Amino acid sequence: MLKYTLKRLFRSLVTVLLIVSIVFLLMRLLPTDYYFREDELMKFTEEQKNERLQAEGLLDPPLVQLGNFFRNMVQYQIKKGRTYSLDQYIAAKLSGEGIDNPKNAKASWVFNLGYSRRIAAGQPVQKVIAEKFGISMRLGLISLAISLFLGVIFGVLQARYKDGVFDHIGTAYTVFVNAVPHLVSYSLILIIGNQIFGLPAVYSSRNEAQSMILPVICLAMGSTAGYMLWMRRYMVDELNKDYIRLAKLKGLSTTKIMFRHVLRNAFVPLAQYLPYSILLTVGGSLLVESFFAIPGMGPMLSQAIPRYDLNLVQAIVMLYAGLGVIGVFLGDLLMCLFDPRISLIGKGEAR
Amino acid sequence: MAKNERKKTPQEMQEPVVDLTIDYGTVDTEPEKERPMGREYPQSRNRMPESQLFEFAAYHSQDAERIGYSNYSYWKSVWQNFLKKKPAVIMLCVFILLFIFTYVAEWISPYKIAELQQDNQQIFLTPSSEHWFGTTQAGKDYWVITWYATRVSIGLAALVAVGQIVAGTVIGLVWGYVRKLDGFFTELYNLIDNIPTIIYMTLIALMVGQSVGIMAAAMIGFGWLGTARNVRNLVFMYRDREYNLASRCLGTGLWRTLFRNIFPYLISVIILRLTLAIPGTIAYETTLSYLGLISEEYSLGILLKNSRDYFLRFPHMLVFPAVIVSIITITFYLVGNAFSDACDPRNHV
Amino acid sequence: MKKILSLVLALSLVLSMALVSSASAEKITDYVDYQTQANEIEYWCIQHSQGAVDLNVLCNCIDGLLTNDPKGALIPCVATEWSANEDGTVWTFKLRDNVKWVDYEGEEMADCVAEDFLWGLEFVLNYAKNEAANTSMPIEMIAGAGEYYEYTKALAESDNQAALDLDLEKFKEMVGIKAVDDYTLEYTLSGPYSYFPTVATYSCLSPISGALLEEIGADGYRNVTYDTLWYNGPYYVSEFVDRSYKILTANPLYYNDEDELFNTVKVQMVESADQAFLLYEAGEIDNVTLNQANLTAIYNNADDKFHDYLVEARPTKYSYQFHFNYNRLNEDGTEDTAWNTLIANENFRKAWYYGIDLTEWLARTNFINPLSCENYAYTNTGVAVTSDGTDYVDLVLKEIGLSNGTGTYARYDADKAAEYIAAAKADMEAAGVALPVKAHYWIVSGNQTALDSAEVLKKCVEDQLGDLVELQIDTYVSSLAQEVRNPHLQSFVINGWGADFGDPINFVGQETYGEDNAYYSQYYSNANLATDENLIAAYKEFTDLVTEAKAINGDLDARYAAFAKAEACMIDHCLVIPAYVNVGWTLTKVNPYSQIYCAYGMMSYRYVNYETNSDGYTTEEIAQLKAAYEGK
Repeated sequence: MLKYTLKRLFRSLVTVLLIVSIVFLLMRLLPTDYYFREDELMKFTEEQKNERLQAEGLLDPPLVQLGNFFRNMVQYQIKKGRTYSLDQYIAAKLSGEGIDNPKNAKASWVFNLGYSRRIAAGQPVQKVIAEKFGISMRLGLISLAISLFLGVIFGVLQARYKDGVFDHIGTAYTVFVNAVPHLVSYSLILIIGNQIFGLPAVYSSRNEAQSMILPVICLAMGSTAGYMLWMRRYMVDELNKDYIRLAKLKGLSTTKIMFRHVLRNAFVPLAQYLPYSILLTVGGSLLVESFFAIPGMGPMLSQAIPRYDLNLVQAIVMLYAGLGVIGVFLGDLLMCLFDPRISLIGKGEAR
Repeated sequence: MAKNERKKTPQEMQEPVVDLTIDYGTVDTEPEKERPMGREYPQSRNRMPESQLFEFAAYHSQDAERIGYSNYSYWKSVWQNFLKKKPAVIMLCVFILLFIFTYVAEWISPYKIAELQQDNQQIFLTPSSEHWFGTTQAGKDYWVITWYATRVSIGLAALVAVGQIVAGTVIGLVWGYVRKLDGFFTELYNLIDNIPTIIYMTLIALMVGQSVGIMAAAMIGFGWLGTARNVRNLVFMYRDREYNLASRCLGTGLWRTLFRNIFPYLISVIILRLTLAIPGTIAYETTLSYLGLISEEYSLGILLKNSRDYFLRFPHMLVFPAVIVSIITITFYLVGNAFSDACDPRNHV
Repeated sequence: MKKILSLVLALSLVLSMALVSSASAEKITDYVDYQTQANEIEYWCIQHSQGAVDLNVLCNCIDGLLTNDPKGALIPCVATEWSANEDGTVWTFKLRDNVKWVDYEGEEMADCVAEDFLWGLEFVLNYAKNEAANTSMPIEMIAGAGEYYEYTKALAESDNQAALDLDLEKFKEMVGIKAVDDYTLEYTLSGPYSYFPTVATYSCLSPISGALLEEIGADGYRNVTYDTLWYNGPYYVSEFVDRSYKILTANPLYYNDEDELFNTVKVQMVESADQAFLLYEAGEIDNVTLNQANLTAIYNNADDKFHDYLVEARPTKYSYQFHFNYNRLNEDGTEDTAWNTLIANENFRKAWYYGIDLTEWLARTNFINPLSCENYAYTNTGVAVTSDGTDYVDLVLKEIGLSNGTGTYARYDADKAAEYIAAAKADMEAAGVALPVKAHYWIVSGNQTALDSAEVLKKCVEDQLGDLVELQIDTYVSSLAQEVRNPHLQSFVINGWGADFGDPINFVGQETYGEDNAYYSQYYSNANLATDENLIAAYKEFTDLVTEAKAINGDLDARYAAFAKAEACMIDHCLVIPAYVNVGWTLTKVNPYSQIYCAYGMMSYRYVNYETNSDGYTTEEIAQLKAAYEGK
């Protein structure tokens, strides 16, 4: 198992680097007009545009740019002095020149992902992300916990009272959530929450507890419907199996059957998605965060791309890709944990 | 003749048959009463001669040919089971009527889609006898537009959904079963999943073009991921059960194992995914039209996206498309669930 | 428990609303403005920024030499007096002595002196520090600016750090700007630019505190944020949560006691315009621009609570025109001879000019008063004013014989149109061009509003000119420039120009023939590639008049009159046809006639001297205020 884990993590690391490279190259295929704002576009001549692009290094061939990006990812920084990229450092050491540090100032290795250009001009992208992912994560985890809890319970109840009143109510709720566009349901919740209950309409960091209520409700609404739907499906599939019939014959009460036997088995396919969902709460929700003006990670990517904020896009993609890959892997492990019959390595018979 | 009776042979016709009429005089009126053992009771069955108690079973050559079979056809049973669920059948009929109606609606309305003109005096009218669904922000008749959009959306959604499911299922099966390819597919999944949609959709729109076909191909090309992962998880669960080990030992081919051994377990989940894919595609249309990547003029996704700006003041612009999408969603959901249940052989009695 | 709590909340809300409504309308002390999240500030470094999204905030934070008043006239800011020498090449500005720099907590950091303006200009012209942003106006007007820029560019290419480390020494040698003493500033121009003071309201001439640069360095300043920046303006930014809100607090050390400021201004970021309306209804923001649905619903319903409070906004800074493409190419790169021949024909263009009644189309922008959007001149109002108070645009209108506010679309003339249509048809037949010709009009895809407007335009055009031209609406994915303009695929583009400084050359100078810096000629109309002799002759006539007008420098009235003639010539030949200005409707608690309104510069979001009414202004009140404003 250990060998498999290591092999897989190494492969995934390669994938993450591949993803970053592909995104890097794809972004540079987009028209360079994205680099400029509309009022700049209205007035700039071609020359002026090219000057700006050249100053940023965007007119070099894409592969050269990619190479520079990787070269500069790890840097040796001397405070108020020179900065060495990895290959420059190695070259300096090997050639016997040594590091140029006359005042012997503090020097350290830093992980350099570049500076944001338009989202938070001049800030290192790590700082930009660090400031924002906390709130997204809080919002996401709270609503994940709520929706998982409610979704599973309601799904179980739906399966228990299949074709009964509760089942139909649950179906109606799921259909409503899926059929009505999200922004519309959020607007409705906003109106109801704000005008009838007086909850704040926009997020404010001074009144965090209260102003989070409506966003959490919006976010949890959709996920609950999803969990309900799939929980019900898997449970109904399980209920038909022979061992359940046996348990009923033996006289086990329905509740015990539901929770002790069926749930455990039905939950296995859902379990695969859990670590992924938990880890990616960092990513926030685009719609909810824009709608309630929450300063989180959600809108970051879809704002950074049209604004050609390349460093930020790459850093975010790298973060999400890393988390996603780890999430899928942990999901597989969790699935194996829940159901011992599943094995990732295939002692059964590799084909 | 009763069901289980058979014709008497000539031999039998001649043999006497014992007549076992009940002699009520000898009925035991106190069955619980303890009687000492050993006593004989007149005319109880214990006292009948063996020849009267037992008969030889005769050999009937025609009957001997009869073999035990049932006229069980899996799909016929599925269909029959499905038909038993009234709500689902009704919704299916409703949907078919809805689809036909999208063509009829334009025919019966005084306005035609190709001839709609803007009219600033008539913007945002509420439903009336002149405009059955009211008018849009440009003063065009909403009835005709909504039904045309429904037609477009259903067509696109069906195409994309089927494509996604077929591709996803096949890939998912192979992914989950063939160990050697697990690594490759996992990384492929990670790769495609983590590249932001906006980037490649914009690039496709810019470089390849913006027609409906291209969009559909792109949606299928990136939409198979979810189904594939779901299928793969389920395949993991069933892959190493004993019967599969047995199949492998016996040397069953890959595709036969996949489709005969494992696939039947997945049918219910796949059907559910298929039915959810259709409203899902409509929702995805909305996202794409936000990004400006849809070339169709009217589709339910576009109508829903536009209604967002107007619905607080003019709810009719949201209500009509939303109701239609709801009907579609609910139909496919109920039909899907019913079909899933019907596909489970344990429900075939 | 939760139920009781929410009930109590609801009750207290109702009670407090009752209390509030019983109070009379009062002034607002803490103003709340809004912006959509897509327009969040990107650069806090004012010298680097060129976009409205940044300058709308920074104009409150960093004060330059001059600013504008609600009528667009130049008034003192940090500079109290300004004058030119005899030949108009040297401008002297006298500065106040009580201007201070504060940080984001309101603590005093340094004095603002004349040398700060030198640092500002040096930063702009330094290729390594500012990456060629905002350089066009200084290079054009200030002596030595271009040379200094090239010098820093060359230096940066060989040693970037050295270019970044440059101080004022080389700069003072080469560039025509001098700090005579701590409170006197002198600019030496490369020519007698009479409109130079109008450039002084813009960000390219903003100051940077020398002490701040010393502390954080040039690249530190380039990436400055609200908490490392120093402020010398009426407000400083005390709080900033990206994409959520920002709080501007009144500067306690602000030098001008006569200006009336708010205690705080909160700028709330919203997801979209209709969410802004919900917030306005909830009382959380103090003004909102109405979108089509809200405007229609409020206007059509006499009982709506906002029905009497509709306020027509003032026109935006941009004047929009139909820019024809005189060198259209097909998708495969070949010349579209049909369109090129048609558009080169002056009869056709005149038919377009006289024959299209744009009222229906304007109604899509402003459906209550479509004619508020009418625009018959190329230049925008408020760019230049003669000594007797006549706006330059009125001069132009007099030359071409039209006027605004007549109640109908004044340009439309059915008889003349019929004449020109017939003439154009005859010409096309003689040239062998098949009618109708396809005119390609490109709009961005996925935008329903743009599509609706385009369809109405199509109707307006084809109503009269249907025999000559057929409008085809095409869509591009994201970039008009790269997808449409560069390959010359458009037949015409509707585009707007906003003034950079207060002189007509800024507008008509973009359309001249044979000049490199004529932006529209180069990128939109491709006039320099046209082959038709009549067209070229018309362009040359117009360009000669512009050159004449440019040369007049001492007498501003004569200069403006000459430019009016040139512009009238251009409109007469219909080289470019004016389209519209953008006038929307708002609900607001601020009197728009008390806000700074100027066609050029960046001061429109400066929150000083606002007249406010916490109930919102009614349509009648605004009409009275407008009359008073115009009568004055």
